Amino acid sequence: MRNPYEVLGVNKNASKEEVKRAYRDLAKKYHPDKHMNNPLSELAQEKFKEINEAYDSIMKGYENSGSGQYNNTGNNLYEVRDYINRGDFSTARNILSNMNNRSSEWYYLMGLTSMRLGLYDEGADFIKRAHFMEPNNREYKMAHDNIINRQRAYSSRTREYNGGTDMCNVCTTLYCADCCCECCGGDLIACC
Amino acid sequence: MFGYVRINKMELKMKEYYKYRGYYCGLCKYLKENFGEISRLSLNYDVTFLIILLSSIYKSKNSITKERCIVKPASKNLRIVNEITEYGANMNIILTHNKLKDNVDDDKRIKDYLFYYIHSHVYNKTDSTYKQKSEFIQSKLKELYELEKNNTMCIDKTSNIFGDIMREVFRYKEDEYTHILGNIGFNIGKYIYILDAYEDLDEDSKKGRYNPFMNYIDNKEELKNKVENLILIILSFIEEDINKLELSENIGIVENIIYSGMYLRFINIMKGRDNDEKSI
Repeated sequence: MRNPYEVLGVNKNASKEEVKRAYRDLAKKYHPDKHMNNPLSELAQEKFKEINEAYDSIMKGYENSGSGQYNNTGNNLYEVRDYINRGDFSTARNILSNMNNRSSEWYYLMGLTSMRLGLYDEGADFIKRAHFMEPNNREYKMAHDNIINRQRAYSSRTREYNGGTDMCNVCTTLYCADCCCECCGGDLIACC
Repeated sequence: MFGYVRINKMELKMKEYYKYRGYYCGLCKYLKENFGEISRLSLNYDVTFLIILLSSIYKSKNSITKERCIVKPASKNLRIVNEITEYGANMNIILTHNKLKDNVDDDKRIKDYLFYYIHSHVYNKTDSTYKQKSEFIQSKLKELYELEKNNTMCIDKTSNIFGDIMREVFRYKEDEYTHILGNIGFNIGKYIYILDAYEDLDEDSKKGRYNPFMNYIDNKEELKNKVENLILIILSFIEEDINKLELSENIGIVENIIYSGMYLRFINIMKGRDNDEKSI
């Protein structure tokens, strides 16, 4: 096996946070879901496996050296993330369901797996809860915003499709553009 | 339970509208010729959508004819048939058969027995290659029946079972499209189940029947909010998966259905207004 630090592209003295971030970025890049129907899928899968192994071995190293202060539940959450990254949402969800320590991360991961398994009602609730418990966590905020944004994006496209722009709108837009041009010294429509 | 996935005629180009009607007409005639007159009563808009989507993906060779129809005898209509029409027709029969069976188990009215009895003859004519799908659907409906009997109030669980049924219907054959098509089917199933439950809540409450939203009977505003959120998530997933398919043919009709037909149907149900267009 290659040096796990090299695989993740981090320094040997990197902090846990840095390792985690590097792992997450790479996992996102090589996730099999992303390369499902393309010729690179096999390569991505292999790379993905390698990243996961490297991450596991580094994290184990932290535990053994005593520098990691993870208790039992903490470890399980890593395991859960691992399953999620591999696309095995049912197993991830099963592990989560059997845990008692319900931290914000637990709610976040539970929400993530629920959404992927089609349990949208509780999934959205879990993610909202994680975001509410820790508003400054970027990961949770992103997941929360993602749900709202995808709803908004779809709605706005339906408005567009169902005749959202009429002739009045076109005229006002042109008029505004003309005014802007004139302010800057140019002219879009010469007659007004 | 069916008929939620439709076009919005007003936003469709004439040629697209005629094409949609052509597919619909093709399915109808195919049913008549292969399964008998009775089977036409179960004609299904959701299956028409499936046929259009699959025809677009597999770029099937259409056989287009002009024919008169007993519903509109005055003018000749387009009739489009291809290899997918056969699949759609079989799925249509299987879905209807299981739905009728469900009615018999549920309501136990003489009318339901009669329909079920008559339709059984039709069902027996379905191609045996699809028996496996039919059995899967039956087992899923049984699961759903158990949940309903236990008065489950979890909309995720119940709608997912119906989603799984539609997933199976949308998985035409095993290839690179199976996964995406399955997901589209799954979300369409959820869309149908949730809107159907929402629409029937008052009636189910009056008649003392099961409804997954019964806990919200006195809290309609909250329910409305919940259903709106759920349906928007579902529709956004359907949109995402449709875009992954990179369709070229029939794209106008498919977009009309996901951005207008399905959306407006949902909005109208939320407003409590049901402007049904029975005939297209």
